[in-house]
Amino acid sequence: MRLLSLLLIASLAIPVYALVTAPLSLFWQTFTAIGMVITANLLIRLKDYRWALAMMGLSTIASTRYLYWRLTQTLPIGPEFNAWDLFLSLGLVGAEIYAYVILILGFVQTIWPLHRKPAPLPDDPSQWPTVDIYIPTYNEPLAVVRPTVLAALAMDWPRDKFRVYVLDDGRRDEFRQFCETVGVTHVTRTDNKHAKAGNINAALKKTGGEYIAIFDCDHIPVRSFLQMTMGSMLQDKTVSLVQTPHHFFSPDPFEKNLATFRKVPNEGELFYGLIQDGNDFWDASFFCGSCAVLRREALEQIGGIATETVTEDAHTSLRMHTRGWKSAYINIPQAAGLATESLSAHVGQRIRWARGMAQIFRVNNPMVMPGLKFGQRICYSNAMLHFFYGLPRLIFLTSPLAYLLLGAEIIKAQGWMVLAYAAPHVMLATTTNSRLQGPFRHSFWAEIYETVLATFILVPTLLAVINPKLGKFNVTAKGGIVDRDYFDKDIARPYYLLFSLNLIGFTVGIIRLLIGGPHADTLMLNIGWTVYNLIIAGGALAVANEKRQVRSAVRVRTKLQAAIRSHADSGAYMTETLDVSYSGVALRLPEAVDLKQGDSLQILLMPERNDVWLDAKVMRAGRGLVAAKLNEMSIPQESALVQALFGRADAWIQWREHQKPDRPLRALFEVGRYGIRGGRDFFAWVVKAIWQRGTRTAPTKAA
Amino acid sequence: MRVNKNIAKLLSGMSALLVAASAAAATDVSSTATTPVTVTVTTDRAFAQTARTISFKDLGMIYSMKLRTVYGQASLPLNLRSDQIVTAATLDLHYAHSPSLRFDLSHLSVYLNDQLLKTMPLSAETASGNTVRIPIDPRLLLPHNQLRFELVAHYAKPNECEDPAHSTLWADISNDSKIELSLSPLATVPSLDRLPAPLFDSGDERRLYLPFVFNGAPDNDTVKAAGIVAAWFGGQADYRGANFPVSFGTLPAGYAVLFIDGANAPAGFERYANAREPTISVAENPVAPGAQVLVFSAPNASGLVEAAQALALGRIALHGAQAQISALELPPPRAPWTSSRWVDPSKPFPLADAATGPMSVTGLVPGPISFEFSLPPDLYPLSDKSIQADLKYRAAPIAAVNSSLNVLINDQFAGGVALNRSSKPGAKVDRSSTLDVTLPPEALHAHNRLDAQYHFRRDTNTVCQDFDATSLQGSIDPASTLDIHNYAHFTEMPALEKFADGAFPYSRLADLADTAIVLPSTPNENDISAALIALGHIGRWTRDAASRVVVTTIDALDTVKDRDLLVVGRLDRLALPEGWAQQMPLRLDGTRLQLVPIGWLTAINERYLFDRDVDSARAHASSVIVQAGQDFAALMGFESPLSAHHSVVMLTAGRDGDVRDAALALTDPGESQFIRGGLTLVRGDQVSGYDFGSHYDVGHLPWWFALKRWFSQHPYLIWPLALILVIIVAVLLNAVLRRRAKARLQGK
Repeated sequence: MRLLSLLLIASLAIPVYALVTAPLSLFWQTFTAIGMVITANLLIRLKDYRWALAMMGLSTIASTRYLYWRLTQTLPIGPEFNAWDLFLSLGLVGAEIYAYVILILGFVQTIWPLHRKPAPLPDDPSQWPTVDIYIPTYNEPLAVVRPTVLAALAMDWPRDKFRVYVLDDGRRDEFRQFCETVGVTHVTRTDNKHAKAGNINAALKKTGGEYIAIFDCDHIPVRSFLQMTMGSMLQDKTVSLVQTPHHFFSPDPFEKNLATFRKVPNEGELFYGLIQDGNDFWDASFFCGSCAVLRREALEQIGGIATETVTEDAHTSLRMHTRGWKSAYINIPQAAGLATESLSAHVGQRIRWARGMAQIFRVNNPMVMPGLKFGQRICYSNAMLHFFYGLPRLIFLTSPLAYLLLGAEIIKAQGWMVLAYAAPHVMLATTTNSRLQGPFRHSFWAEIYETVLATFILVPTLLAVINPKLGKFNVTAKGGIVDRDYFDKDIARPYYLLFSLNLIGFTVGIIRLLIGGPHADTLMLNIGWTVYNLIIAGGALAVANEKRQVRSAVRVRTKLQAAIRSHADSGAYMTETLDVSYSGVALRLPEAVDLKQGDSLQILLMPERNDVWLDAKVMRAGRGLVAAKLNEMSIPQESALVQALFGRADAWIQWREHQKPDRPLRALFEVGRYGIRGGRDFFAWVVKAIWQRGTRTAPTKAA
Repeated sequence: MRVNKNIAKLLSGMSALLVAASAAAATDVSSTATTPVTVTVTTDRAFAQTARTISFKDLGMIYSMKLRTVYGQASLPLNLRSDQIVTAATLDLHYAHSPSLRFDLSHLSVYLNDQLLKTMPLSAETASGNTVRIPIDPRLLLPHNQLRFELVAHYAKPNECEDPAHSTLWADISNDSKIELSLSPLATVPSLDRLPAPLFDSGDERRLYLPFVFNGAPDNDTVKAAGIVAAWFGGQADYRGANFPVSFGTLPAGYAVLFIDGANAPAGFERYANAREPTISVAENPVAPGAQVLVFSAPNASGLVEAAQALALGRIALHGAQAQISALELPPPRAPWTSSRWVDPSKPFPLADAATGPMSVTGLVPGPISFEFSLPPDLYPLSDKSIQADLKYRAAPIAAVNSSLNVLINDQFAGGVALNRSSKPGAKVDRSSTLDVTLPPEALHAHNRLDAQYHFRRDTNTVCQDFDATSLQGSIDPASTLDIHNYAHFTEMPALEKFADGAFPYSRLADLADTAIVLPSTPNENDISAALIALGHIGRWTRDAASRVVVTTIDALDTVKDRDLLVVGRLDRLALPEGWAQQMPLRLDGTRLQLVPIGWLTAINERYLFDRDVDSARAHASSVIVQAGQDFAALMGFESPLSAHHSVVMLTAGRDGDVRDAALALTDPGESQFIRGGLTLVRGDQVSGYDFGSHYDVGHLPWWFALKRWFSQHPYLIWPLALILVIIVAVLLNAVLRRRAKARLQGK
């Protein structure tokens, strides 16, 4: 069988080699390019997954063909080029090779998303195993941690078979009291060595559960979490990890500042929606630090959570995989949390991830580490290599300037020829990725996500590769509120630099075109490229334009069954909620009920499984609606609210229904619109800043 | 300026070829090269010639001779036949020079073999053109002579500065200038010692003319013997070409080659009848006193073959009037392209072996350092950089601003290097620098000339500085090589141009072990003559004994199935087997001539992929045929109907045409440059070649390159094939991945 497949691969490799290397004239390369692009656009309409695989193949051929041509025909080597040309050119070629490797690794990684279903548990709950639930915290306020603890306690699992532990590295009295009140264990240690990883490792020694479920203190689990995940653990004793997605019920800075929440898939969705599912096929799903169950035996075998890197989660998984342990991924959101609020916090978090992945790449390189299977090497490598996009992204954003501003000949080819080779490479990759990733990542959005972060992760990743100890750990602050609109000019500095440079390049290019410079085709190609770069950099600027967050408490728009009554003795009316938050509830007002502002009100959420009434005060009433502010709650009341708000098993399942499917062209226009908006806002800010400096009437920071 | 006649003849061919190459397949490229002075006397009777006029054009000067700078020199070789002596000689010199010279200081001198013949003062009257007759003392003339011209010219007035390379310093010597010779034959005793002289005399630049005489219609083996001899003479005559008329019985009045087998001998040669052993002899020609006949005699035809092989292989002692061959063993068969003619591409070729003159030059305007070499015609470079000249050069460290070394291949610029040097005291050159030039494959032919041309430029800002032009020196190291790598032996056929230039495919095996000459069932004198001329042409390229050639007739093709065939004969006299006509670009249908029809797919393919307009090529060819009626000769190339990847070249003619014209076109550089494609029509001195777009391959390409080539020839199939391929992969992969996923979900 193995021999047969080798023979098959060899027999296919020969024609592929020829397809990739056949030299063509401009006319025939254009013909081939058009043929391939049309084919891909027809294939994308076909449902069967075989066609998606065919698209991957076609895209691979187009890209390989481009790269082969690029490497053999277009390097500026020869007497008419100088070392400077070659240097700039090698930068671009390097970036292109990187993009190619990531593209191909990505195809392999997500070639067959596994779509694992939760495995059934034994019918007799007494045979269900014991689980320790860890909620590590360090400096987060109690208000953030409370709902998580309450939701964990409400989990659908025999009450004697799970224990909840709050691992408080802050060693705060407030926490200890709360834990005592709700009946969970407050675990502390004397030092804070190795941060979260050390915290968990210390707790491991103090608890005895066969399985460990870990939730970040702001990830509120739904009640079905253990039932959904534990089946996979019991079905196969070699599974060391069952991971579920991280879901966020608040918009991340991109969604907030671009107003794309629930319309365009956010940055994380590609990873949790597709990549982890693809990893699962190769037995390479890895631990993401939260919303997962681990097997104590596996964890103890590798000496607990890894502490050498700042992304202890992935590192831990990697080690378990090298020992032959398996992992599973269940692509159903079973917990939800707050996304980072501000762009700066988001950037800080991603710097940590990038740095951590680079550290693992350096310390335990998955390409060479013994014990891994081929697919695992591919998946881990891609996950880590992905974070090296900083330099390539910056090169792509500045390359046309080398020609337009510096006059460097970095590609030794005719402009039209470059287009004829590069167009199928780029367009097929885009179309194919749209087919594969469409529901989880719209076309061209990756460019914005990467551009925003590129300059910030560049140095940490490179330093980590040089020496994994360089750089510092910092915790992501969550729960903060952006209380006003402002342009985060510190974060935005790289974007406006890139934007301005490309704008200059564009202007110079247009002038050169108008005065009739030589090589009009190359000039137009580079101008087109700067236009694209302007859009992307403009998009990044738009993200840096922080929008005020309106409510102090997160609001979840859900229709839940509810009952209302004015006081404990009066009759209750059935109704339904319009939206619910931690501080208030909006309900449909039954016609028979007459309420006015200031009235007190009692609300029972989800009467079918709950009998704790919440006390509230009417804020607004009328037109069939009533908005009520919740009074101070007792623990049972708060727990009831948490269960209704966050703990429902189906809480996060249908949220994706509002998204439109991806259409590359539409996505391009959409990205283009944000790019223009970012550019416009940037200009407004610049003009205002200059104006204010000129008149000296207002403090500049009001900009 | 040193002129090699060999170069000059090729040069005329090359430059005309460039014209031909630029013309599309369809355009009429008739031979326009000027025919050399009408040959009134053929070489077989040259010994009896009493007066001869040789113009500088005949000596290889295709342009006038240009003398430049304050001290301009040029020379010209003059070779004479050794079977006659010169009794009187005159040089008829036409020249012109710059009118703005200082005539009191300027003059032109003529030397013969370094003896001053005359010095002509230059004057205002002679500037626009002058003719002088200079008598030459015949005693100064040797078999090989050099005629040299020196110009000493100045233009500056006293106390003025002079630029030694000023453009006003010029004199041109017309190539209409001529040498008139009075000759007298030199009687010699017939002897084998001087073979191939006097039948072929290397001192004669004319095309070799050597009649072959058979006593009655020869059989195949006798023709084979004659063919081996013809190839040998073709090799000797080299670039001059060779014409071998044939007669069945009548002895011509001049040099001739005679074949006698058995008892059947012509009058005067009875003593050679009934030879007991194969014998080669030289005898007086009874019909023409002073002329000699090379006689091959043997008891039978195979004895004649043996005698011819012995001569061609150099296995006999050439002494006295006669040599007998007792036993002859042929050398082992030759491997492809092992003849000394060809550069062996598998290893670096030292250019020193190919130098045609000194590899060091001196002066302000030095001539080129030239190298001549032949490449196998089926050498197929697999990349643009396959053929590289690695020149190691040294140039004197003189301040010669903007000086350069340029490299030309067949007169096409291929590369160069600037020799900018500072004249700092102590500047030195003590090792060679390297210039690697990739030679463009399109510029290469079977025979090539590589010129390394130094251009020294004097610094014109320092006019008055003392300047010694002889200190400007440059050389090419003997260690310079021609490197060929990444190549295959492969050709797309038909390619008559490779037959005309390189005798491909027959020249592949130098002993012609892969060649068969096919004659009509009853060959006549013209058929055999054409075959011999063609073999002479092949011999020119192989430079080896055609010892394994086979001669057969069209009705006995079975024995030569797996050989490359050279079919000779008029279309109406060749009874071609069934199936041949379909392969031929021009065929006889009853009595009507017919050109091969071209399918629309071929036409489109040729037009859009190779930029060849086969339709109009066909239209042009048919108009030539209509005009000619049946009075034309033709060369055709096509794949052998007997075995794939073997070739047929057919030398043929219409009913009223002479097949010899087709063969002779090969020997005339002016005409052979237009032989190309799959069909070449020869009508008088008009030669036009056509490519009709049906091709076959000869040779072998590496699989990866063959695949690449196939795709570049079928570019419209790239994306459909890619699609089919990925669909196959997708279906297979889908099944594999589905199974794997199922296994994984079941926890296996």
